[in-house]
Amino acid sequence: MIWHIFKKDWRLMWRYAAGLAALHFGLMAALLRIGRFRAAPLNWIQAGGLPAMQGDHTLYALINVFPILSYFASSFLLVAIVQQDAIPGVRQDWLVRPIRRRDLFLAKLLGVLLMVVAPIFAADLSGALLNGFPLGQSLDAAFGRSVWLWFSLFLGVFALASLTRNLMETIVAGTALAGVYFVSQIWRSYTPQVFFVHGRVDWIDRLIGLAIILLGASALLALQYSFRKTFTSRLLTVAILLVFLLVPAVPWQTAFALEERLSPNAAAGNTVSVSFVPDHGTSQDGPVGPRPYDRGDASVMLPIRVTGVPDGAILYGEASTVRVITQDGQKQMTEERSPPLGYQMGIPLLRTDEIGKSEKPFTYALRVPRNLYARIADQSVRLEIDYYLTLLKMADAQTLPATGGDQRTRGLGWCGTKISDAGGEILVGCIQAGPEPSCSTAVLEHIPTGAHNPPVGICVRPDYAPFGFRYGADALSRFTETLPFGNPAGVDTYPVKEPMLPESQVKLKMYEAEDHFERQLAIPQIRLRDWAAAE
Amino acid sequence: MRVTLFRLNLRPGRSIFDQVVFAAKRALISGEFLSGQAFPSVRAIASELKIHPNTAHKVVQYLIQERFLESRPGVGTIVATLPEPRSGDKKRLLREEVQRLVVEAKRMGLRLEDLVEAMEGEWMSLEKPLEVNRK
Amino acid sequence: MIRVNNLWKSFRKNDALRGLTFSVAEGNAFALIGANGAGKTTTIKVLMNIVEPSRGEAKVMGVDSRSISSRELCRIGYVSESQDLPERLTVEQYLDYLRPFYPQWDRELEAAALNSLHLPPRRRIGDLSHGMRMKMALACALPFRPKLLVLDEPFSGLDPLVRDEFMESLIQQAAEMTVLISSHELSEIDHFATHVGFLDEGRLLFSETMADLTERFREVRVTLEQAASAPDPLPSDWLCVRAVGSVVSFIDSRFSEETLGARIRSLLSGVRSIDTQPMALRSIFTTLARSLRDGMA
Repeated sequence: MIWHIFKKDWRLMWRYAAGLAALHFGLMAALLRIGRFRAAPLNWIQAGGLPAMQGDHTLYALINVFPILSYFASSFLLVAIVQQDAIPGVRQDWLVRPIRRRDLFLAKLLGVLLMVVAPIFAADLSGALLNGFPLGQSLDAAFGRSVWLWFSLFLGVFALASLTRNLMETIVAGTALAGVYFVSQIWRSYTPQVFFVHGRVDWIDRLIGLAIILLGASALLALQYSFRKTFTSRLLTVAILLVFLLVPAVPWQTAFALEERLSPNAAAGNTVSVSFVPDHGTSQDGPVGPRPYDRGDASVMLPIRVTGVPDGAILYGEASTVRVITQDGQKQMTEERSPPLGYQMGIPLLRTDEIGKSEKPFTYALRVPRNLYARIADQSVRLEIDYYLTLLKMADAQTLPATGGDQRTRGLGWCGTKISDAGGEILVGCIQAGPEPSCSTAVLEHIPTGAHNPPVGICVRPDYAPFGFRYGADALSRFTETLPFGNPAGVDTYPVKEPMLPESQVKLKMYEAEDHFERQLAIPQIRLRDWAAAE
Repeated sequence: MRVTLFRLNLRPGRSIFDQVVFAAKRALISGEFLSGQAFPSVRAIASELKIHPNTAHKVVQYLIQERFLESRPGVGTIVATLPEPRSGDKKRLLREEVQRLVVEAKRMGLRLEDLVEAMEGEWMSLEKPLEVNRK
Repeated sequence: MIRVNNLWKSFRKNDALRGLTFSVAEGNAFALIGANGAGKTTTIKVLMNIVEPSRGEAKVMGVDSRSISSRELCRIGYVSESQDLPERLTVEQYLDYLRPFYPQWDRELEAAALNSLHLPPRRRIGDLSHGMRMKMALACALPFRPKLLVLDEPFSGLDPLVRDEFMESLIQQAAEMTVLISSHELSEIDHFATHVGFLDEGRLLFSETMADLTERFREVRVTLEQAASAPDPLPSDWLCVRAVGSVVSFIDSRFSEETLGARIRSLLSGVRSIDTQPMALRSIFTTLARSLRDGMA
């Protein structure tokens, strides 16, 4: 009976399914032609703002508007399939026919999978294969995206379609729910718990959100298909939305503890140690830490050194907690620096590659509120700093000629180099089947002399998610880097200049988290006034 | 198959069974059906008169019981050989019309003699032509 | 076959059904009649488990309406004018779709139904006229030999020929079914229904055999010697009493041949003649409806 009901729906809907499939494949073909050197489609969702309209308008529409349209169109088709035999209402013919609810539900599920999800999967798979990726990786990427779309979008739409009578009602309900969600996000962004932080450990929160959707949608579908209790289901939907919005983010410590458990190589960070180096004077580089909020607040500057970072690795400071304890055991202040105070971690991004030395001490600036400082500045206090650290090791590398480069590796994907249309910079463009590397660097280097321009990196927020969560136009990730080069006639200070390009190369490196760990720095006795910065 | 049934206008308020039996008897007695001819099936009767098949069935069963119809296995229901109806039977079948006529006549204050006279006149004028116009 | 006990159904503030109790035995043809909004469609929707009762219970084929499953539904046919059907399928395709759900489906019966109802099998449902849609609904309900056939206002908007075709097909199978029909077209079902239930504002005023009903209603005209006036006190079962000229006319809802004459003579003087006429179902309905509206009952 399940196949029989599906055949009826197929007969009614196959034209729309075919049209939608054509849309997906068309989009895939267009993206294929666009190639590696343009901005990634729908990048602006992650970036948090609409992109500026520039250049080719068709291109712009293509990569930014059509994918959204295809999501809507897929959702509408899904709703239409489900509502051929809508659940709420008193006029549907199926209500008086001997059709088992279980069969009806499974037939709808089959219809949705075959008519809505399968074309997306097929288009994604074709796109990956046509971009030269091996079958295994292509299947992985396409499947991953289908699963993501199913749990983050289509399952919810399915549940919503079972609560409403027709497409109009579904649109109204969906808009209302989305509206509440977005308003709540805006409200939330004014509070310390920012939601749209991408990368690092927020995958845990997202996973929890998906679990809520999964449980909620399943409960709704069961309620509707088994018992047809539309009023109760609608109330339950509001409850699910509230749970989804109000469930707090996992506390930082818990998330990091989980990451520590999940470290791919738990021993990798064992060599790393953090110490207070009082003999070292104030360093040349700027201090790491927040500026005083109030004029009267003190800034205590502490030289800190990190040692033991293995060669070729990056040490990433996730968070730090500082405690100032007076001799009587009283905790006078605690300062936590954790996400979202992204760049104020209390430890700079440290890397050991041939560029820069990690064992140079840096200055940690501690802000002490004015009243407290007045009281304890001359006392001997105990200072404790807890560091939450991640060691990232190089996972993949490519060396490409500065222009016309073309190389394919497992970790970075299929990369190429060329001079940008506007001139003055090298464009590095990569396509990867699956999620893009979240931490990578690129350097323009002149081979004979060894001169190099400052490295360009996007390792501000590495992503530790075990799987990719993205709304894109397909299962491929696209990312670009721009490496400026010098103009001999100009006044810039780039060592590598245009005439040197034929003998230059671009070195791409990709890093992946190896180990998450904590280190505690304890200074048993310190007088804050000794280290306070002059006003 | 459309079968021409006996003339019948179902009137409200009376048992349908009675009315149909009455009309069927009338048709049979006045020779509308030939002996041995197939009588309309229960389905046809119900369908044509828009009555419940169960009622039609009861009618047919009753007529069989009263020997107006015979049930032949394999053939169906056929009209039985009817004895020559007595005038008493025929008068009984006209009872309703006679009743109505008498009631109307009395209401208008006619005497019995006037009524008979009117009937005789009507009878004579209808002797020659065979067509009958009914309202 | 159908047993309804103290059934209540409310929609928001409105009580559509108030304590309905009646039953339909197997083999009956039960007509549910009543004014617009009396609750006929609601009753049927409760029986078919399209809506749930607020209070009380309704049992169909011995099963509570809320628990009706495909086991019962494969023996129940339902014809209603307001069913949402897949408009883009043809008649043929839709029958193809329905067939496997019913174990008792008889393809010859299906062909006969299509034929006698003159339905074009290749036409899309969306392109059918209203009359054809109703006929198609019947054609989708007969081939599986339902034990119970439920019809909700099947004749509304149908021209007389279509009504005839509809009734013919229905009657063909009526002997094997129990029929529940709600309709305003009382002349169509006048001779077909075996039982009648009269619904008024969610309450059942009476439920009896058609024979009993038509037996107890008479139009009565009493001609008096003098000017007529309504009798006092007015018997409660005399409806729509009117006195014009020398005639008192009324509808007797509890007619008894033996006692009417005596009753009239005891209430009116100078009776010259009494004339009684039986009433068609339609007239009975309008009389009752009018008297309810005028506040008598």
